Amino acid sequence: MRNSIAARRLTNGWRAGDMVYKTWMLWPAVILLAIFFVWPIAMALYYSLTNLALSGTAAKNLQFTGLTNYAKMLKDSNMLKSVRATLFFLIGSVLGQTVLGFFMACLMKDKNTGFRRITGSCILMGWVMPEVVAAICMYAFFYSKDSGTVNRIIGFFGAAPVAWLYNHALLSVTIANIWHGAAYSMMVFQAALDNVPADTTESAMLDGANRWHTLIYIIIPQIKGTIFSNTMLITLKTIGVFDLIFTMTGGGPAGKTQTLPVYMYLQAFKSFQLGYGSAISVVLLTLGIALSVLYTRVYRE
Amino acid sequence: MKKYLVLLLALCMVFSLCAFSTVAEAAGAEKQQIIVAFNDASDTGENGFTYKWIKNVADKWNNDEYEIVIQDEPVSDSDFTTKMHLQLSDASTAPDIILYDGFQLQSDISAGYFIALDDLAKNWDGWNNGYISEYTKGIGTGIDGVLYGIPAFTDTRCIWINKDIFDQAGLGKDWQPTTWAELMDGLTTVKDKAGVIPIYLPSSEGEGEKTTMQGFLMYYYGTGERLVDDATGIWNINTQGLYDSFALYHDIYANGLGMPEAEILDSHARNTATEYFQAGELAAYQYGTWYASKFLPQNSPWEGFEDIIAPIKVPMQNGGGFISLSGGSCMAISTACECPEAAFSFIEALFEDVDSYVDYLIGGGNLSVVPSASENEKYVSEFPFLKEAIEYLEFSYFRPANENYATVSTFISTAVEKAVTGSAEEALAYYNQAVTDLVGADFVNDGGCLK
Repeated sequence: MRNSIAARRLTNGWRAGDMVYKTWMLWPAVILLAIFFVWPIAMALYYSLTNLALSGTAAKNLQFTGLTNYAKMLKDSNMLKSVRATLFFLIGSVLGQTVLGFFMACLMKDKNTGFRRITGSCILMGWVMPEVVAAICMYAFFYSKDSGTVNRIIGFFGAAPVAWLYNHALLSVTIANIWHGAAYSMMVFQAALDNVPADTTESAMLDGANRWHTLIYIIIPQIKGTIFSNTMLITLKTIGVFDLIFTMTGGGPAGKTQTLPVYMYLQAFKSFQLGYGSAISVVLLTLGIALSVLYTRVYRE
Repeated sequence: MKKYLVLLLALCMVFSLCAFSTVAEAAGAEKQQIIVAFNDASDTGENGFTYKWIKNVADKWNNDEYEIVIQDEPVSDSDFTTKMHLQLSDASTAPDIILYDGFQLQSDISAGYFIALDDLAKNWDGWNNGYISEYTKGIGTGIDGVLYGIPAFTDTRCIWINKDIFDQAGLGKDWQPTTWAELMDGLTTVKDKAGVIPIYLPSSEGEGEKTTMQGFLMYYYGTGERLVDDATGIWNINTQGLYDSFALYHDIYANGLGMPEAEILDSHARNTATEYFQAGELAAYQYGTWYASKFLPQNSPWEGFEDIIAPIKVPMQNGGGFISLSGGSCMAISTACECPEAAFSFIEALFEDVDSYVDYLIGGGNLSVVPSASENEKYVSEFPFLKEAIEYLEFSYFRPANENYATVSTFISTAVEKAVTGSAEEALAYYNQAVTDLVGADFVNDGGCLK
């Protein structure tokens, strides 16, 4: 009897104190998040409603201009081009990285550890290197003259050199991004495939399903969760890619590879229109949020 | 063992944090520091002619109270401008004296980054008696007529030709076109007879102000029009002159008279063009009169260049004269400077040390703004093609004194790229829209070219 009363008080006291304790533990994380995440976003939102500039009279007299920057965006033909380039880059990268990563993970499955370790490290090196270094590597790869790697390879088969970074700029940077990020997908899918219980695949084989059917009807449904989270991560990472594109093409011949981050940088720091650049960044943020919500909805179904 | 390793790692992390404080301590030395910032685009470091000029004078000027700290920025010139803007917007990071390109000056004066120098300059004998002509003072004067920068040099622009190639093509070593049509004919002849690339001129968005000044404006001003009315601040858009100038650019590339598109729009176009020029595969290089000084022994030597290349003037559209544009950099003092009198006395010293100043001018191919330097023997003898460079000042114009010029210049370079890759209509339409959006419909004068 006494024990149960004491136990109850202990449970009650602990539960109340538990809440306070948990809240206190959260404070450091909340404060950091507020300072380095929420505050900059709020400032960007505020500046997008002003005419902030780095030079000219506007730099001295900051004026609240409301939605002028957004209205300007709707009329800006470069903005439309930028959104289209971003979508192409995004869809291409997501599809490319997912498919390539999954393909590599399938190939790596059930091979011996030694092979996995060596090949895995080689593939991973592409992902580990900083974006700028990867950009320089890919620039050399796609270099327009006949000394570029791709041109040398196709030259071996007798084809004339192609100016990749000029005539097919957006395609080249998309391929570069696929190469750079595929290793991450590969790692994620490797873990997911290893977690697929062997008995499901074995029973499928016994029922007469070939490897292709096993893959589509048995394995993929089981790793749906991984596919979803991987796709969302790649998407959010890709819409912010700047270093790779800017180093390889600087925004591309006549703005062909000016994705939203590159366009935002050029407007904010080259044309000195920080207000307009902030407005573009808000659009980028909204795009990211919209895509995340979309994915979550689709997955729930 | 593992415990000690962890402890060692933790200590390393803590000590690495202490590294910050040593840097801060060095900055807080006894003497007051005056930071002089300039753009070292070719990353020549301590061997650069600008660095040497400032260092030589600083060594003699440094006294017990003040010390000059040199901040050379080895970045591209547009990145330098961006960096200066970011640094100037906060007093704790702003340099004190900046060697600043005049084209950005007007818009930065409006931003309130620099102090007025009239009071400081009026007591300087060198300014009152020692500047060549009134117009060089125009480089550093704001629209309000107040002085904000002391001009360090000026320059002119031209086309450099390879005399041998033009001779070989039958046009003679002293070919000088007098109209745009003659220019185009000459370039076509060179292409047909000599089989080399006829001309390089800055044409990409990436080259920014160079595309505007060394490229576009050299032709646009030759149509008789101007970008903006300095007095009223009204910009001319949608005019025939603008269209013709964009069309000229388009035609040069459409007729194969320029470098291949992929090369000209690359960010390294200028370097590629110089390689072609030195190898004799490019006949003409449109740039500034300072270009020749690049080939002096102290820079990137080219044996015997004085006999191979020569400057020619850029003709007006329908004849009647020639066009050049003059730029120049100034020494400006930022509003964050705590000791403007001391900073200004250093600026005075920079020009009074004629020998160091002359070395700076020769190294950069820049024209003197001070008589004592322009009469200097070394300046006259070692400066390549000085006579022509000074001669072109007679028909040279300054950039518009308008705070929006710097931004409009970025529009021009984007429009030129559109003219090269697309058409003159596209370029003009873009330019019209961009300028109208920037300054508002009240400040544009529509010339009615495109309907």
